[in-house]
Amino acid sequence: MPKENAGVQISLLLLKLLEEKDMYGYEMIATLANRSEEVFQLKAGTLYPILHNMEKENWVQTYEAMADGRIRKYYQLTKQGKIQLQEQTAKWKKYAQAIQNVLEGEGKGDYEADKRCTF
Amino acid sequence: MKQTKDVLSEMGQQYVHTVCEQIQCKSARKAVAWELTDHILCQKQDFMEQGMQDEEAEICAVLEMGEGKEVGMALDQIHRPKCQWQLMIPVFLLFGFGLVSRFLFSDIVEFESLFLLTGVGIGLFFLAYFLDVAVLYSMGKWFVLVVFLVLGLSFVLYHEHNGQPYFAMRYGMIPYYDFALILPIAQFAIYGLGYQRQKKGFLLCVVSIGLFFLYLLWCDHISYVLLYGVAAWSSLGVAVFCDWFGIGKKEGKRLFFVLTAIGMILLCLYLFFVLRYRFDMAVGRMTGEENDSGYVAALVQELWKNSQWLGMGEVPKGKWRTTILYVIQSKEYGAELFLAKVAFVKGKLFVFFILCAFVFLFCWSYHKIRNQKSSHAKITATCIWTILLFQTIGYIFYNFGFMILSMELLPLVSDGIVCFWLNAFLIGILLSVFRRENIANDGCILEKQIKNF
Repeated sequence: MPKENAGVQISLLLLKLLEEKDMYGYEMIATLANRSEEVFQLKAGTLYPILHNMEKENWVQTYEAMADGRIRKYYQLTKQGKIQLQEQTAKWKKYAQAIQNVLEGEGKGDYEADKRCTF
Repeated sequence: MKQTKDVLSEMGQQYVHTVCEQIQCKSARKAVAWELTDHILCQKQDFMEQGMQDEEAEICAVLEMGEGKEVGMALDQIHRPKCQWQLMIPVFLLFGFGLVSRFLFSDIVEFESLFLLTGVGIGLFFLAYFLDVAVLYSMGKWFVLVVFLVLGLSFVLYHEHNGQPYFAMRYGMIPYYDFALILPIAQFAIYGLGYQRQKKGFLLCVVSIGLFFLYLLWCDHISYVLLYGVAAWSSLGVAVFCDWFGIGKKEGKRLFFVLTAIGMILLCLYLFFVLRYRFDMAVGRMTGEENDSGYVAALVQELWKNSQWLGMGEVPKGKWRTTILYVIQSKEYGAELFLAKVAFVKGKLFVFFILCAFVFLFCWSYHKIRNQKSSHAKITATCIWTILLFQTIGYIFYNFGFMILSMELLPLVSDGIVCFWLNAFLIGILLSVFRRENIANDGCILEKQIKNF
């Protein structure tokens, strides 16, 4: 998987999680791991730079609340974030469909076969 | 990073320290340290629930975090303060206009004095630009102490001049009403003390606003009292709307509107009964004759004439003629009517450029204020923006004859040494807030207050 695509996918997953409810960093990692049956096991070191970048881009906003006797930073999806989620979802579906087409469509769209048909 | 030291073992602390060491911006370090500490503790708790011992759980939690140096470097890229060049352009244009205007109209003729004056202003601007205003909120107690000490001393050291208190210096006198420009900054320190303290915090801020207000009334310059009033009101409003005091937005709004209503009634009574003679004086000044029959009728009568004057761009006949001729021919700087003077002497285009720089500064700042994430940044930026806007609009209206009271000076452009420096400092703080907009949240800078709470 290309590295740049991996970055886009993680932000898509995070945006999707935040669409459902406001979450803090650790909660996102745990939820992602649970839902993906441990396929997506993000490190905190990967998560926070992405989250902070999303905050900088105004896709998410943060607020603080007391939990377990300490301050916890929660992330919340913004309007811009919702638009971004829609765009990234559409891109991902197109991308996934393209892969699906390649994997399943034997002969379909074959360059040499198409060339022969034109004569 | 007190929280980190209190709750993490040496290994955890070392990890957080390694990450934060890579981040150049100090305010951002604190916020990151808070977040990573919370993450390690959550992970540790999970491991302990799975059967691990305390120490082992923390070691595993730290190892789960990822390579500290790399994480820190990635976060450093995100949290670097951003240069506010879009706002630097209008600010330096205004510094330039100020320098040219002083050269053309001021009674300061030596180049050295002119450049020194502007240089100090630019120096103060950059000092504030690189200052982290969050310090005011987090070290509130000390700032409040210093402010009240200074205000207390001012009662002892004042010299009265034209009925107003001044601080006498070797080279001139500084009017006390200039405090109106910097008292809102002292107010930020008090907001820091009131953070999440519910009604106590709200009351503390309201009482301090009331005390500063009374102090400025004693200084006897109604324009500056109003200036401070508007700035304090706007910052309190933002604090309430952000639920700064933790009393809930609904309750906060109710208290704020009640307070606003009481304040408006008291102010109207004060203006009408105590300061009525000032309005009459102002109308007398404006119309060229003393007017005891009420200012509203005179104001309405003059509005039409003023708009004609504005449209025609030439010296009008009638009562205004004397005033305008005085302004144009006066060798003094004419600080109060500077824009009018520039319009007549240098043409309206010059004034137009000055106003364009202000419009851009205010519009772009407004856009930036709306994007602020932390409450303290919103409070600070709104308060300073209001001070600058109030001065500018008041000054422009007065210069074009639509206002009967003389207002403050035009920020950065018109004469007035102390005001010029203070305004440069305020604009520096405004830009400083914008350049750090992605850095600090309220919680991490107000760690002590939360702990006490």
